Amino acid sequence: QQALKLGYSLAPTSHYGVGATAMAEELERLSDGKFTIEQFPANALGGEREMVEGAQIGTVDIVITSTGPVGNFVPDTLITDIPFLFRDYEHAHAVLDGPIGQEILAQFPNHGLIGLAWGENGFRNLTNNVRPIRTPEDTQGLKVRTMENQVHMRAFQELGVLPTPMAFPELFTALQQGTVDGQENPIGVILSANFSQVQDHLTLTQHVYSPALIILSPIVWDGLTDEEKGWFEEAAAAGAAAMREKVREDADNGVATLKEQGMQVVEDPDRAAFEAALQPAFAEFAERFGQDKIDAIRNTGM
Amino acid sequence: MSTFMLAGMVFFIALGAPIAIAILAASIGGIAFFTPLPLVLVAQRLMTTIDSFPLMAIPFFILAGNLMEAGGISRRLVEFAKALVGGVQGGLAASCVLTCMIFASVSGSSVATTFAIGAIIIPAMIKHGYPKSFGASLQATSAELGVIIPPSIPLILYGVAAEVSIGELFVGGIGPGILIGAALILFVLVYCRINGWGKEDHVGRLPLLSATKEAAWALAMPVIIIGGIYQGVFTPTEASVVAVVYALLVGTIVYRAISWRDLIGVLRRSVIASTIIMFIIAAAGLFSFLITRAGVPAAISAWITSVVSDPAMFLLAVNVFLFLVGMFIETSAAIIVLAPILAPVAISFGVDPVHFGLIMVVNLALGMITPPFGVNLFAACQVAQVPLERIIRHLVPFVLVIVTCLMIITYVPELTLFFRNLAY
Amino acid sequence: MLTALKLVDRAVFHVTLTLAMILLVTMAAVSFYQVTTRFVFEQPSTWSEVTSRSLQIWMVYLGLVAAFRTGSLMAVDMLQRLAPKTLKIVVICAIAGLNLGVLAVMFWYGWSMAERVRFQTLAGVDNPFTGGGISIAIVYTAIPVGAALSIVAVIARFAEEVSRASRGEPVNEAEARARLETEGA
Ligand code: NA
Ligand code: NA
Repeated sequence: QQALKLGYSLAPTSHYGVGATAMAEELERLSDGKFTIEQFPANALGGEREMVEGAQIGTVDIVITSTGPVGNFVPDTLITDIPFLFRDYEHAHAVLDGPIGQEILAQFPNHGLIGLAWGENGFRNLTNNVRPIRTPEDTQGLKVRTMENQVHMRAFQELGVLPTPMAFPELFTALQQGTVDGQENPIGVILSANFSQVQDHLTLTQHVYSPALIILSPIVWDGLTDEEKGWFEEAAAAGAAAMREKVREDADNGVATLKEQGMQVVEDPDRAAFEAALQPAFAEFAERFGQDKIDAIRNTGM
Repeated sequence: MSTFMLAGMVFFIALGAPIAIAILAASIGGIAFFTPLPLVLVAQRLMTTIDSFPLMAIPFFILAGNLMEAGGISRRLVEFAKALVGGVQGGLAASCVLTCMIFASVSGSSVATTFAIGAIIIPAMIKHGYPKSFGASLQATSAELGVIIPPSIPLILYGVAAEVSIGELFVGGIGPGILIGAALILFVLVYCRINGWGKEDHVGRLPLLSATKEAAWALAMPVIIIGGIYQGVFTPTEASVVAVVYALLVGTIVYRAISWRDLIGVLRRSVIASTIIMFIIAAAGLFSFLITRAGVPAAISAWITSVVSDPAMFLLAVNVFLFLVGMFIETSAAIIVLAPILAPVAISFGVDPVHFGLIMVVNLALGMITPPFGVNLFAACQVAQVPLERIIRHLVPFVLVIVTCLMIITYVPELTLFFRNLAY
Repeated sequence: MLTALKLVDRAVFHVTLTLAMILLVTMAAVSFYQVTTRFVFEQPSTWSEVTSRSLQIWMVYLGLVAAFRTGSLMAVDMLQRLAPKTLKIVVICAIAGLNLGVLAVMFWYGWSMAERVRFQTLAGVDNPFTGGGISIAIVYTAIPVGAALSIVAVIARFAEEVSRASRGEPVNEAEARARLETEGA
């Protein structure tokens, strides 16, 4: 009988919550009640970086997190931050569930973590208050809040955007007061943070696919038998599947809801033009991550 | 474990250990005796809790307050307030409240307000024949406005902890701030008349026009800070550093009052004061992690919802609870621990999270002047050079005034939400 | 021997306090730079936020030394003021022991934490010289360093308090604090 503490940054009703619940049910079923999961939503156990670190030192047992902070622990995950790397959801799932994704998860134990499965946040989209965005010309000079992520910031700079890192709690007010012009997040986040109240334009740029990760503390992992390890992997896979399903649902309904709330939505921006404008940045990413690895991802399922 | 930690903390505090050390010692004991957690958790929480951009407003507001005092900005604000309301009996006491209100609109910290204004107004009050102990308790009470009128560090902390928009909280603070300011002015005018203090307050005032002219640079400061936040020039956190730069420029270039030597003293005091507060916050971060991980918040909210059924009763219970907490616990630490527990329960009772934030902050700000542990009391006693025991007699009526205002703020949500709804 | 200890005490106090003051100024400068680059020059800075946050952590744990040395940490000192002489000395000893115990944990486990996270990099900044990441351990190190130096401060303060209490001298805290802060400046 072991109760595990599972932390994540979003509300219990979010896709993380749905994934956590699915994982908990599956694990309890497989282990016949030996392992139970207690959920700590909404950063109750700290921010994402801190929770991942917590898994490392054994103060948090399971973490569901975006890849954002994970790159600072396991550099191999950074490759997923490259913009326009994944064509669509099917492509992303094929890559992450296939050998490439599993190879990255296999790196985790070298960095003091166990990567159980790839979950999902969905494609990130751009909102702003200045103009509807269709082509790279439209993004010139916009101040956009981005994550503290070198790859994202580099790509946005190439598009003429002024990337501005900013703490999430300050973002709503900053958008409202025009301290920054825009922000970029998956539809689910745009919806739950009520950004439609302070942003006029949404463009479905789908510029970055944002996976999530289900991470286990190595301290828990090392105490498991091989059979139990299998249960954890299976339960995490069930959690990830539930998460992806919820993300898909949210994205489908979310755009309609955001339109109802008054946002002007550009559904088919010129993605090819954005990709073309990013060529100089892509050359740098190739040098950093290896052209062969990038090509392997791009060629998956082609 | 939680009971052990709480008992340990109270014991160490009563013994006279530094609050932060008491919290840490109790938490370390809790980890070692009751959990399988590694002690490196202590280091992790001591770092990550203060690894927060919004929290940087604390050292900056403290620095800005010290610069304003050294640079002559505080003195000019006092002269201006005296010219405006100081002409009647008790006018100097009323000026103290008004100055604190103006100062509060550029400073987010009550302690900074106490030091910056008290250093000027308390000696003036003594000169005009007010009892020292009355001056100190008035200053301690008025300085509460520092965290109620925006900008405000506790409102930032609440916003971060409960994930509520800091901008909305700030606007929400305007109504309660004006209410408390007005109530205090009214009260001191009556109280001074009853006690026969301040009959000569009209002597030595500047004419309004020249006082305004003198204070022009000082009075421009709230316009720049509040205006800058709402024009999107800077975020509420960044406003604190803009206040630092403005106070430095006005103090050195315009008023030519700050020397190198002064500047070093200002930095020294600011570093020590910031460290004291930040270290308590860091310690509270460890404590709150442990009780959260043990499931205490979830249990408390479940208990509250099962015992209390209507919002009015809930708010009353919360107010009594927070008043008791405020007597013993530092405001920032209390908000970090309690906001994530209480805010979701309040929301489930249909209380607006911005309204609830103001209730929490006004109540815990009251804790700054309730013995035994009240930072404003400590600061005011230090400025006025009077022992704590001596000012308690004058505190009672002030506490009653604030409690009355708190009840109005609690049960008239419009007072808080009117400006919010206007702006958002 | 005693003079040497006094010298160490003074050196630790002044060096840490001066460094913390420089850190506070740097934090303010970096944050103000952040506002101006974004608003005036429309070129938002990407490194300033994480930099000023990290400086703040170092400022707090270096500033802690001066806070301990001047006895400025917030405490409820009713018991100490009201207790008779012998009890007072017992209380002073107990508090110093508690302080030292907590600081020892901060030092030991702070060091061990810094070691554990040395391969984790800080988000948002690259090393300007190598282009690689910067280890988060440089932030965590503030805790063991600050704790170790605070131990010196606690011992020095303890010696002062005991000698004062045994002579039965009341102290004007504010005055003592001000004297300590300005001496040698
Ligand atoms: Na204020
Ligand atoms: Na109190």
